[in-house]
Amino acid sequence: MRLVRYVTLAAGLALSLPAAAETKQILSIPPIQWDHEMATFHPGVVHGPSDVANLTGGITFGMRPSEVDVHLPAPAKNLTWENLPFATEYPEDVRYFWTRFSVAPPPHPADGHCVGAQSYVVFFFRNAHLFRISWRLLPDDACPSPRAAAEDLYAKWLEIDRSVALTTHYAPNQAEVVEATDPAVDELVPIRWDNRKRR
Amino acid sequence: MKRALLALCLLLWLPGLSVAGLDVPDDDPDLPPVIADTTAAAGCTVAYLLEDLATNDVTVVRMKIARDANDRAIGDRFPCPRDVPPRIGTRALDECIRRAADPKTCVFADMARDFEKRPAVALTAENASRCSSDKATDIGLACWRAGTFDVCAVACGDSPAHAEAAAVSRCESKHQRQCPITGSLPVLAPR
Repeated sequence: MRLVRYVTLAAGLALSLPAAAETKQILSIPPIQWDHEMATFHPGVVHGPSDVANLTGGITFGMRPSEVDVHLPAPAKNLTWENLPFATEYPEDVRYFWTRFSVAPPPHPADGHCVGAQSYVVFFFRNAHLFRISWRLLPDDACPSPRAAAEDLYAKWLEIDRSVALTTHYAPNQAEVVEATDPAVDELVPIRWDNRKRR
Repeated sequence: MKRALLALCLLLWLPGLSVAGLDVPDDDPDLPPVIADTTAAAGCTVAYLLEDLATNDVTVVRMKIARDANDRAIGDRFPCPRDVPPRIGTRALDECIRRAADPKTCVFADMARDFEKRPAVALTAENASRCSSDKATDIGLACWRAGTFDVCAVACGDSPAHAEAAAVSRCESKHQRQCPITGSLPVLAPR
């Protein structure tokens, strides 16, 4: 009986102490349209490569390394499939190049959302064509958590239907990763980056 | 000759005998383009809230359901089907799963008591994680932080404040905790 009284008292106390209010961002994806019988569905909004280009400042899936390069704020020049390094985490011939987050093309997180100085963006190619863009947001002393920036980037990509750009957000070992992938590369979609260096 | 001239004049004067196409006015550049009727009644939307426990992201998935030819709008909304089959909820969950690093971390956002001890989709309620546009304008969320993820409850309301207050009430009564983390969105997708 006494135990019940203590439990009730503890529960009441937990509810009575003030807790800091916080607003949670709810992310939106494009609506899905069903028929009246709710048997079949299709995307409620039709998106295409131009929506990806609008978001990235001109970069779309399927571009060659040199075509991506010209859309970067600081082009590297002479980027060709042949001289790109291999991305060994993939089971087939995938190659990449990267650029620092500070000179990365759009989208950018809203002002006020920090990322660590070592953050970067990777462009992945298969058969010489772009299929994934990976934002790797790392913490540092000036920015202990890049989570808000990652959430903001993720929200921007989620506005595009996943039939055009499949976007994922995950957090390997303190890093925040937002990836947009061409859904046509089905078998490569589940491959994620493992932030092993920071363990 | 006079008769022939008279007949020709009569023919030219007769309305409706002008050559097709001549009566069609040229496009007027000053005319406004066709504008969508933004006052039309909204079709049914069922909105679900889902959480990815690995990232603590909460996502709204809006399912628009086509209306039947016999459906009649009530006010500015068309009715939703009386019963929403579970496959609609499963499909909403799939939207989280397709984007998650681990499919097991995707759950409906209305969670049972002690969810934090056994975080799994089985301890979440599909039917309590959704709101229908014919019954509510907003879907609200209220949560408390259980370590790395939020434990939440969902409620529907006629305004953002009402939906959030209803979610707080449901969350606190169910979880016996303060639920200071709140959010809401309209049930209908922006037009």
